Amino acid sequence: MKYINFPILGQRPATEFTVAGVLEPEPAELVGITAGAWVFNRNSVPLQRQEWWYHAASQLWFIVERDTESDDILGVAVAGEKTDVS
Amino acid sequence: MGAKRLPPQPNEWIDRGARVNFVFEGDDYVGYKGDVVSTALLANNTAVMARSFKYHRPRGILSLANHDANVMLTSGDRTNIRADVEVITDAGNYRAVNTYGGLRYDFAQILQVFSKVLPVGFYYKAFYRPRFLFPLWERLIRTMAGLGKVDTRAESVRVPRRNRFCDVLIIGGGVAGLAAAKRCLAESVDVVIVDENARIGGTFDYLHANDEFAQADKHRLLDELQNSGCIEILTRHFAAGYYADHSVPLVGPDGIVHVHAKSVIFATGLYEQPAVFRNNDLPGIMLATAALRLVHRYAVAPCNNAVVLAGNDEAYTAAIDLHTAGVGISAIVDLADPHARGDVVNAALACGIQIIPNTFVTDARSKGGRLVGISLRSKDGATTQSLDCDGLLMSVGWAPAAGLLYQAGGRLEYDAELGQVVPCELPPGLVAAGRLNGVFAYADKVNDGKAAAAAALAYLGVAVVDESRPTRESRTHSHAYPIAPHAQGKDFVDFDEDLQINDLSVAFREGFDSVELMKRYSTIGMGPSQGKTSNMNGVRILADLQGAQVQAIGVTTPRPFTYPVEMGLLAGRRVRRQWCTPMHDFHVAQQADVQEAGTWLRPMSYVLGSPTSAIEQEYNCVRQAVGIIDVSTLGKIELFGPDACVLLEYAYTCAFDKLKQGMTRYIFMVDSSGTLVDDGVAARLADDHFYITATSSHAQAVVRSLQQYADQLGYDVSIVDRTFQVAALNLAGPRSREVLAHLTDLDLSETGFPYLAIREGTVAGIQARFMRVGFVGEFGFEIHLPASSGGVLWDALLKVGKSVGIGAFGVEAQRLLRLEKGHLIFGQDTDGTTNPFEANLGWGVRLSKAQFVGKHSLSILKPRVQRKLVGFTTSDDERRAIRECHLIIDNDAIAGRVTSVAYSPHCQAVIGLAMVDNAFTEIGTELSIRVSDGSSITAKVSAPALYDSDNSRQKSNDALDQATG
Repeated sequence: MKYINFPILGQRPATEFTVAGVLEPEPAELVGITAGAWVFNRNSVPLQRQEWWYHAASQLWFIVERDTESDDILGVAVAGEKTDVS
Repeated sequence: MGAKRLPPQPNEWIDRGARVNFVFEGDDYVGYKGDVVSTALLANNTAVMARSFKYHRPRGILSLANHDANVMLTSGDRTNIRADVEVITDAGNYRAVNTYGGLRYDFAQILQVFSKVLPVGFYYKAFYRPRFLFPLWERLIRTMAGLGKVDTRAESVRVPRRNRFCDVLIIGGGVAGLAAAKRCLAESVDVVIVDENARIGGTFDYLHANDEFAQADKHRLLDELQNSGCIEILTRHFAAGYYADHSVPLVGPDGIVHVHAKSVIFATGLYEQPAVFRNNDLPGIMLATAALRLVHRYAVAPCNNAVVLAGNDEAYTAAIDLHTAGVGISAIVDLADPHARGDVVNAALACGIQIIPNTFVTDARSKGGRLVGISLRSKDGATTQSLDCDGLLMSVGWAPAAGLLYQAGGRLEYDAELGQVVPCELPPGLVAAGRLNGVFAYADKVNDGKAAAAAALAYLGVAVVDESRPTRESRTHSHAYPIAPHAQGKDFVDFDEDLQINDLSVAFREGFDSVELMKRYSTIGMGPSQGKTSNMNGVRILADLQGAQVQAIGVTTPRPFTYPVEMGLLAGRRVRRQWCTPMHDFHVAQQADVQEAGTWLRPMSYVLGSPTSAIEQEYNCVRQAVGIIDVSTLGKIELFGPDACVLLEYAYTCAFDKLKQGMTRYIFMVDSSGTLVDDGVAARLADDHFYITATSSHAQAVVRSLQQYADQLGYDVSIVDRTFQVAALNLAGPRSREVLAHLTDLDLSETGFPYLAIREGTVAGIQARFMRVGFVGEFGFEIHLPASSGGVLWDALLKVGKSVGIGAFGVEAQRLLRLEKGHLIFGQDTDGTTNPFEANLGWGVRLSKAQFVGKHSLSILKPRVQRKLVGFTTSDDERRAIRECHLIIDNDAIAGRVTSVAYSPHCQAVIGLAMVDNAFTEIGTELSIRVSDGSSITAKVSAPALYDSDNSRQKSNDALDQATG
C-alpha cells in the first residue's frame, strides 16, 4: 500500500483517494483539437503530471504531481488553495 | 521394497507419539502428526499420487516443496489442495483431482496413445473450422480440461485480513534470512520473518543437515530469535506478491497478513530444476532436495535402490547424505567429468557408490506406474547401459525464486559463469541475500545475510558499519543443458501441462520464437506451478533452438500470486456499507420488504416479498388518496457564496438565470462526453444560496464533481453535503394537501405555494423545507427536515392521514407510478452512452451558455441523434413476459432495447420505455420485442407519459382550493 503525505490530512494510504485524471479543465473553446480528441484521447507516455486526487471523508481535492513511470509523488497541494503547483 | 519410514532422524518434523488416520482414494492410511499428505502416502509406499493434466500419466512427488503441482487433491468442499503442504488430520478424506474413474484405473490415460495427434496449439488449430461443430468441441474440451471441481454449495467463510507494519520484512527463514534477522536484532528495529514451511530453517534442514557446525549455529540462532520478543516469525505463510511501496501480502492458514514494510530482504532461495529425458515424470524420479527433505524432515526413505543424476557438486553431497541416512544409493550418473568436482567424489566412492562419468539418462522404465530402471548413454554415444533402480534423484541445477523481485521492479540477469539468473539492480529499500544472490557456501550465506541486513538498516537510517558482501561464486551449480530429447518424446519440460521438448520446437518453428510468445503459445509456465520447475529449462531449450546464449533470451515475469490464493481469503471480511435512513426503524416495524439499493437499505414495498397485489395496493393509495415514501436516500447538497450560481451553470446543462428565489427546477448533469450522469432538483433560496438534490446512488459523486469544478475554476462557494443530516419524504396524492394542512400553518393554496415552489416553515412543530415537486405524477410535496425528526413527521403524517386512507409506499410502487408518468430513472432508462437529446431532455440543455461541462460534445451530438427513448404499450396477455433489456428486433437486427416495463393499472396494459432507433420513434409504430423464450411480442410506440400528460393532477387540487378560498 502506498502512503502519501498530504497537507492538512498528514500521512494517508492512497486507497482513501479517488484519482480523477490530469489537471485539465474543459476549455471554453477548443483550439487546434477536436472535441472528440479532447474527450477521449489520453496520453499514456510516462511523464510527470499533475493529477486530481479526491479525499471523500474531508471533501478535499488535492493536486498531486506524480511521475507516472516511477510512481513517485513529487508534490501535493490543496486544490482549492492553489490550482497550479510548481 | 520401495519407500518406507526411517528410524527417528535428529531434526525430523513429525511427532511419532501422535498417529493420524486419514483416507486417500477410499483407502485408509496412517501417518504421524506433522506429516503432509505426500509424505504420509510415500511412507506407506504409495508413490503414484496423481494423474497429469493432459495425458493422465501417473505422477508422484517431484519437489516436496510445492514448487511443482504434480499432486493436487480434493477434500470435502476444498479442491486443488497441494499435497506437499497439506498437513494430515484425522478428518482428512482426499481424492486426486483430474481422474476419470479414480486414480488407479483412470480411463483417460488412453489419451497418451493419442499424444502424437495432440500437438502444441492443438485447440487453436483443430477447432476453428467447421464452425458449426465448435459448440460440440467446446463442450467436450470443457469437460476434459480444468483441474478440480468447485463446490458451489460450500459454506462461505469470512476471513479477516490483518495489517502488520514493520521496519524490515525478511522473506525466507533459511540460512541467509536468519543471519539477516540476527543482525537486525542488534538494533532496535521491528522485524517480521516469513517462511512458507512449517518451520523456519530452510536449507539447514537438508543441504546442511550433516554439517555439525551449521547445526550448532542453527540451534543457537533459533533460540535467540524465538526468545527475542521483538521478531515476529510467521511460518506456513508465503509472500504472495509484491505491491507498491514494500507492501507484501503473506498468505497463511488463518488468512492474509498484509505487511507494510519499510525495507524488504529477499532470502527466498532457489527452486531445484529437473532434468529432461524420456519418462522423466515417473513416480520415483524426484529432485535430490526432495529426497533430502523426505529423509530429514519426515524420516521417509523415498526408495530402496537409488541412482543420483549429477549436474553439480550438490549431487554428491546429497548422495553421501542419503547413503548415511540409510537410503541405498547404487550409482551417481554424472552429466560431466567428475574430476573437476574435488573431494566430494572421493567421499562418494568411499561410501561404495559407483560413479558413471560423462553420461546422460535417456529413458526410464516403469512397472505399475513406478520407476524400475533407467537407460544410460555416454556423452560420446559410445556406450549405453541399463540400470535397475526404484529411485532416480536429480541434482542438475537451480532457478531463483525471484518472482517477487521481478514484481518489485528489480532487474535480473543471467550470470553465464554461475549458470543462474541473479539480481543486478534492485529498487531502493530492497535487498537480496543468500543463494538467490548467487552465494552457496554456508559461511558465505551467513555473511551475505548479515550484509543484506546492514544494507537494509542503512536504508532505514540506522547508523551501521557497511559490511562487504561475499563475492558471488564463479563455479556453476547448474548444468548448462540437462536436457536429452528423445525421438519418441515423453520428455517432459512442464509437468503441469505435459509439455514435451517437441512442443516447444513446434512452437519455435511456427514463429513463436521469443520467450514471451513461446510461453503463450505453448503455455509453458502457465500451469498451476507457474513455471517454478519448467521455465528455466524452457529458456535453455529456446536458447538452443535460437542458437543463442541463455543470457540473450530473457525470462518471462512471474506474476502474483506465488502460489494460488483461495478466493475466500482474498475477499477478506467482505465489509460493505449499508446505510439506513432516519425512518428505517419504522419500515422494519412495518415488516417492509427492505432490500439493498446500492449502499442504502430501502423498502421495496410494505409486504415481505413484494407481491404484485401489495404493489398495486400502494399504487392505488397514491393515485386515489395519498401516500408517503421515504426519499431520505436522495443526495442533498447546499451551496452558499457569490459564485454558487455560476458553479451550477458550469456543472449542469440548463440555465439558472431565470430560476427565481423560492422556486425549483429539474436539473441534470452530463460528463465531458455529453453522457447523462445525474439528475435532481435545484431550489434557489437566495441569490447566493441554493439547495439541490441528486440521485441516491450518485450523490457522493455529485458532491465530488461540484467541489472539483469549484476548485478548478477558483469559485467562491461553499458546498455542504447534507445527505446524512436531512431526512426527506414525499407526500403525494390528490388528498396530500388536505393531510399536510393539519400539521402546518404554511399557505398551501395554489397561489400561495404554486407548483415547483419551495417554502420554509414548520410541520408538526419541526422546521422543514417543502417543495411542490414529485416523481410519481400526483399533487404532492417533498418535505426535507432534520434527520433526527424524520421518524416523528412520518408517524404524524400517518396519524393525521388515517381518516383519508393514507398509506406508505415503497420503491416498487414508485417505479410503477413514475413509469406511467414517463419519468426517467437515471441508470435504468439511461446508461453510460445516453445523451440528453436521446432521452427527450433536449429542453434542459442551454448550448448558448458560455461554458459548461459537456458543452462541446453536446453541440456535436445535438444534430446527430440516432435513437430516442419512447414509450410503448402492448395488449399482450402475458403480463410478465417482457423484461428490462429485452431487445427490439427488426429484420433480424437490433433496433432497440426495453429500459423499463410494468403492467399499468391505469392503462390496463403492459407499458414501458424503450430506447429505439430513429426509424421507430413515431407514435403508433409497431415494435417487435424478443422475450426470454425467443418468441416475439408486438408493442406500439406511445408518448413516454401515458398518465396525466398535461400535468393537470400535479398542479391543481380544486376541492381544497375552493374549501380554503
